[in-house]
Amino acid sequence: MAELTPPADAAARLRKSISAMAGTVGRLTEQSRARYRNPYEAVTWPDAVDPEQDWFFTPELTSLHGTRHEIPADDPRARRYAFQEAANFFSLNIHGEKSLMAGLASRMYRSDLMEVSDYLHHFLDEENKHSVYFGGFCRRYAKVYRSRHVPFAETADRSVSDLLFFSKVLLFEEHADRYNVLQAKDGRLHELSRFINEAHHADESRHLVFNRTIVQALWETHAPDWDAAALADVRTRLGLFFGTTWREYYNPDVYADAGFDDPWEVAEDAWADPAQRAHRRAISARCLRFFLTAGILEQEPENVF
Amino acid sequence: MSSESPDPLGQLRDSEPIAQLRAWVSARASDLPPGGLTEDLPLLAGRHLTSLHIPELILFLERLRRQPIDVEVLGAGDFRDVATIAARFLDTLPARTGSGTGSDGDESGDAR
Repeated sequence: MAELTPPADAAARLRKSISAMAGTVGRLTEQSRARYRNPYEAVTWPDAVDPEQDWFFTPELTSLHGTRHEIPADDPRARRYAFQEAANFFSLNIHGEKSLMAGLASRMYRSDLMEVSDYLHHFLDEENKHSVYFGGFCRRYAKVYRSRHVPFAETADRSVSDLLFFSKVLLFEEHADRYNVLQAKDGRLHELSRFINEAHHADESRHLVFNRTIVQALWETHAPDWDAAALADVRTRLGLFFGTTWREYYNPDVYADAGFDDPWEVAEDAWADPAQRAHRRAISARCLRFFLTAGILEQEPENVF
Repeated sequence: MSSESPDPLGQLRDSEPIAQLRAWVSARASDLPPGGLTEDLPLLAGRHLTSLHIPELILFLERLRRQPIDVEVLGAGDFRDVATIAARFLDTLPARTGSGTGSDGDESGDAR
C-alpha cells in the first residue's frame, strides 16, 4: 500500500463528520438501551436437540443447494447436514465477532471518534451477546468450526485501517443478516434456530445503519486525501474481502462431517457452481449496491459472483 | 511442471504440488518483479499478497496435501515466501528460516 501522510486537518475533519452522525447515533443508542436483553435469560436451552429430526438451517441456504452435491431434502442425511451448516454459520459469526469486538474496543474513546463512543459500548455489548448465543449452540449441541483466518499485525495508515475495518464489518454483517432474516421467519426451522437468527437480526438492524453511516463519513473524509494507488489498494482489499467472507460459507470441514470423501473438491465445486454464484450475488446485492453507489467500489469484485 | 520452472534458484524439489503452489501465487500476486516469482520473494512483506489471500491459500494447501491445517498456531512468517510455504505445508526441503509467528507484518486492517 502506498505510504500516506494524513493532512494535519484530517482528524478535525473526521471529528466534524462524526459529529454530523450524532442524530443517527443518538437514536441507535436509545434503541439499544430500550431493547436491552440479557442473553442468559432470553433463551432456554433444551437439554438436547435432534439434528436428524429437525431442521436447523434453511435447506435452500445451504452451500450445496443447487449443486451436484446437494443432498435431497427427503434424504435422511439432509437434516443432519443442514445442522452442520447451522453450526458453521454460527461459528463463522463467532470468529467474525471476535475480530469485530477487538476492532471496536481499540477505537473506543479515541479522540476523533469520541462522539460515537456511547454507541460503540452497545455495539460491542451486542456482539458479545450474539457470541453467547452462537457459542451456546455450538458448544452444547455441535462444535465450533475453525476459521482459516490468520491474524496479522496492523501496520496500515490509520485512516485506511478505519475505512477497511468498518467496511469489512458492514460487509460481514450485511451478509449474515440476510441469512438471519430469511431463517428467522422460516417456519420449518427448530424454534431455537429461529430465535438465534431473530435475536441476531434485532440488533444487527441497528448495526447496519451505523456501519453505513460511519463508512460513508470515513470515505468522504479520507478518500479525497488518498492518491490513485492508495484508492486502488483499498478497492482491491474490499474486493478480496467479499471473497474471503463468502469462502467461509463453503467449509470443507462441514462437508467432511457430512460424509463426503473429498471435502475440498466439494468446496471448490460448490464455490464455482452457477447456482451458488447466483445465490451469492442475490445475498450481496444490497451491500454491493451501497459500495458502488457511494463510489467506494467502482466495479464488482472479481471471482466472487 | 517443473522441469520448466522459471525459478532461478531451483532449490525446491520439483513436484506437482509445488508447481500448483507457484501457479496459485503467481495468479494472485501483484507487482511481481521482472524476474517473476522466485522461491524467496517476500510475499507479504513485499506486499505481493495480503492477509486476505491467506484463508484461500490455506484452503488450497489443505486441498493439495489432503489434510487440515491447524490455523491457530500460524503466523505471517509461515507464509513468508514460496520456499517457506512449501517447507511448512508441503513437506519439501526445510525453509531457510524458521516458521511460526513471524513478523512480516501486514496491513489489511483488523476486521478479519
